[in-house]
This record gives sequence, structure tokens and C-alpha cells, in this order.
Amino acid sequence: MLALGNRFRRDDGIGAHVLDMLRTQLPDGGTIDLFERIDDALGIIASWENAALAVVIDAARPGREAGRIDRFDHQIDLIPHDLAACSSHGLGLAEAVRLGELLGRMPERLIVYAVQAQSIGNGTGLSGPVLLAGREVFSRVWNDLQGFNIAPREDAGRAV
Amino acid sequence: MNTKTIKVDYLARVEGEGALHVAIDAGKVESVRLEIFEPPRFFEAFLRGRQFVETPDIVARICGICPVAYQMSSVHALENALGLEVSEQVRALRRLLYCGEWIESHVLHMFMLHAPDFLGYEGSIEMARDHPELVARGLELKKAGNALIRAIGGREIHPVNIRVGGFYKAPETSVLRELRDKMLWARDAAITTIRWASQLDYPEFERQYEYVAMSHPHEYPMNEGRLVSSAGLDIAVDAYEEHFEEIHVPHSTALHSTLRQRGVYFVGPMARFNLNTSRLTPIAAELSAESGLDRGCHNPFKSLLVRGLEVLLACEEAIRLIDAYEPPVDCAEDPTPRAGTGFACTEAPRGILFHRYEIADTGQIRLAKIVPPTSQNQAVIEQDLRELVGRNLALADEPLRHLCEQSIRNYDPCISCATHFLDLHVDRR
Repeated sequence: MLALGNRFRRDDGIGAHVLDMLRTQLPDGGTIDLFERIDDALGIIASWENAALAVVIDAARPGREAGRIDRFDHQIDLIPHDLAACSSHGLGLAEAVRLGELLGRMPERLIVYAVQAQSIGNGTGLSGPVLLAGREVFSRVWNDLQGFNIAPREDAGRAV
Repeated sequence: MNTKTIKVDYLARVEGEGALHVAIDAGKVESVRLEIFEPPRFFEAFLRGRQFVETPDIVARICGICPVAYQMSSVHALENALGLEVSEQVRALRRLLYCGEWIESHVLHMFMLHAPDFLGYEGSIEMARDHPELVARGLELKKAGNALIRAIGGREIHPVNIRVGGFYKAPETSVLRELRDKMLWARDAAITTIRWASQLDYPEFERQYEYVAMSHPHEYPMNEGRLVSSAGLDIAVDAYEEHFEEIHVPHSTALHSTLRQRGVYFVGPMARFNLNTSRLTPIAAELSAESGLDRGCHNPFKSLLVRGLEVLLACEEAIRLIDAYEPPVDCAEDPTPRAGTGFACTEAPRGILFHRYEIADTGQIRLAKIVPPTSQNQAVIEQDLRELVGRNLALADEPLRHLCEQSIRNYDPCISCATHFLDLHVDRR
């Protein structure tokens, strides 16, 4: 699980927010690694290579309907070039995909969730539409994991 | 009046964003303005009222590429305020952690952001198509640096194991020993990279700078030392604000740093290298001579080479520290809150990073001041651009734009620590 973006830039922290929800559900010592705020293509590649499934969650630059969720499955969809041009990434997700393909360093399966941001200014806390979208993304990600027999941790309550 | 404007939507291959305006009138450079639209000093304000123990985890989030630098400057400054001294083993672990960050940060810049300039590519993707082995080497080097950070810091992005007084948990000796082979490979890969970089074609560009860096009596500086300059400055870190000041310039919301009564100065790998050549390891010194840098490096375009030498130094230092590692008996001194002011400067990959904190007797932060290296280099970058543009007025706008961008990239500016977006405008009158 890769959360791009910065949780100190409001909706840019949507990925971190979904990871926080996942942490409340995932068992300790499992086979899922959670990475937050990897700011560069090499770091993204290093995180997902050899993975059976990589799920990337990031904010998309404001401009369309806030809270809109776009899901891309690398097996069938083209990852848009400007998808992760939201925050301070030098070389972001789209470059990581292209480099990963060139170098043969892709996960077996890659799914990307892009959530349209409303605000990416400095500060903490998600906007209303993006907060709601976060719950939907969490549900979809949990669904993506079902092929891997992941059971919630014993003390898992409702995800925040 | 004949006005021509070149606009670029973004400054490619620079961490973060900024804007550059160049005005040329009758064949003379009138002004160069690097416009950094810095968000209000968010983190300095955000820290006020927080407990000092929260500081390393908060400041780590200022930068996704150099979180360790912010954590190190913060814990050293807070320990200074609290009168806390750490053990030699903690000191060594912190240095090893910093080695990891220097490796991964420098490598990212060298291979992904800077190398395309010298190989004639628009970006790293195009470069990777023709030079996959080069990019793959960069990837493995970055992973080596990340592995060090993960082993000591708990994770590679925003390490969680750093605390005021030391660490929450010391790594097992076996964990570090497992990294030794990886660091041996990384050292050899760094040597290969330096030899590759020494064959590149660099623009001729040298001018006078006042270099500022830390200096330590026994080691190439990372966490500790005095502040020195090539013009004779030699001060303790707590005197930083007596000699350096931040000034507001009209065209930028990022404050410019100057040396009082002297002006612009230069921080980063080239400054460190030029002020600490006596601290190079024998292998680094040999390769420095091989690369023609035995008398120093004064061409910022060759900073790529200097970063390669620092990657090698960091690998060698990591091997030495791993071999000498003894887990600390106590991995942290428990800090007792007290009112005070503390200062620290450490060598982030991009240059000196200064922190000052004022703490109340409750342990709450009353004031935080953070001066990133990229802010300190804003003025010298502008001066370089003015000089570069002046020497290249005969170039058409597009190659001139590219040269300006390349010049900014020499400094590996981590503008995400200070700014928001970039456009380039060249006005010819």
C-alpha cells in the first residue's frame, strides 16, 4: 500500500488517511507493507517491486468535482501522465510506472486510486467530500485485498 | 521596444515548485528573480504549543526526501536546550542514519534529476530507454540508502525511531551486519558512478563564492561541528543568528539568507567538499584527484561529481560504523523538560540546516525557527543565473531556458521545503 502526498497539505493527505484506516484493520506482522509519502519515482519502484499487488492512493490536483474517485488497474488502464502532479513530487507516479516498465520492476498487479482534492494548502484535515471519498476508497481497497485471504485483526473496530 | 517572453509551465526535475523571471534590456541582464511562493512558515507555527518530544515526528514531514536531516537538526537543538548529552553509541548510530539519507537523496538527484542534463535527455524516462543499466544502478543505490534508514529509523520515509535523547530502540548488531554486503556493493557502485560522471561534458562556469559548511576536527561533517566559511568565518553554531540573517525580498515569499555585512553565500555538497578536503577518505581523495577536483570544485555544474564523492564517503563511513557498532546500553537519555533555548546545525544533503527552539518549563515549544539549505541558496542561485544569462545572451530562448533550469538543478533545490510552484519567464527588451 503506497500513500503518496503529504498529510500536512490537507486533501493531499488522503492516501495517509486511508492507510490510517487500514492500520486499524490489518493484522500485525502480516504480508502487507504500508508506505506513506514516497516522494519520488525511484522510491515508489523500490517499494512495489516484487509485490503481488501494489495499491497506490493519491490526491489529484483540484479542478474537478472534489471527492471524485478514479480507479486505474494497470492491467487494463493507462495511468494518466499528470495523475500525481498534485503535490511536491519531483518525479511521481506516472514516471514510476514508465520507469518500472522499462526496467522490469513492476508489481504483478498495480491499482491506483486518485481522489480529486478540494484544497491542498498547508494544514491538517481533509475536506468534507474527500473525507467521505476516503471511506469509499478504504472499502474498495479492502475488496482488492480479498484475493489474498486477509482477515481483519482480532481487535479491529470500525475503521476511523 | 521589442519584448519576447518565454514561459515554461514548470521547472522540470526540481523537487517542489518555483518561478523564474529574467529581464534582458538592450543586451544586458537587468534582473533575475527566482520567485518562490513559500507557504506561510507553516511548520514553525505548527510546532508552537506542541510538546518538544513531538518535534522529530513533525519536522520529518517537512520533506519527503530529507526527513532525517530535519529530525537530526531538531533533536540536537532540543538536546542543546535541555542540556542533554547522548552517548558515543547513539552519536555513531545517528551518523550511520545520516549516511543512509545522504546516499538516497544524492542518488535520487544524480541519476533521476541531474544526469539527463548531461546526457542530452529531456528527462529520466527517455534516459532510461537508452541507459537502463545506469538507472538500475541508481535504483539499487537508493535502495541501499533506504535500507540503512529503515534499519535504524524504523522506516525509510519519516523514520519513527528518532527521539530527543537518542532512539526508541537500538538495532540489533545482526541487522546492521546484514547490510554490510549491500554497503560494500554500494561503495563499488559509487566508484563506478564517479568515474562515469568524470567523463561527462560540463559547461565551463566558475566564479567566486563564499562557501559555508560545518567543520569537524576528526570527520567529514554531518551532525556536529563548527560553522566555517571560505572567507574566514569560524563560529559555534549557537552564534549562527549573530552572523546570518534572513531578509524579505519583494519578489519571493521565501526569505533570503545573507551573511551580515558580507552578503550572499553558498551551502551544500560543493561547499562541504571545498571546506573539508582534509577529511576525505583515501579512496575519495584518490577519485577526487582522478576527476580533476584535487584543488576543489568551483563549477556548480560539477556538483554531480561532488555528490558522487559524498555518496562514496557515506558508503565508506557506513561500513566503518557497521563494523564498529556496539548497541548502546541505553538507547536514550530520558529528557526532563526545562525552560531553555537550543540551537543546532547539521549537514542536510543540500547544505546546512539550522534549527532554534525555545522551550517553556512545561516542555511546550514556544518558538521554532527552521532555516533550510535551499532558502540559504536562493540568492546564490539568482547570482549564478544572472552571470550565466549574461554570458549566453546569444543563445535562443529555448536553449537559454534549458540552461537556466540546469543551473538551478545544480543546487538540487528541495523547494518543497520552502515553496509551491514554478514558471519561467524571459523578457527581452
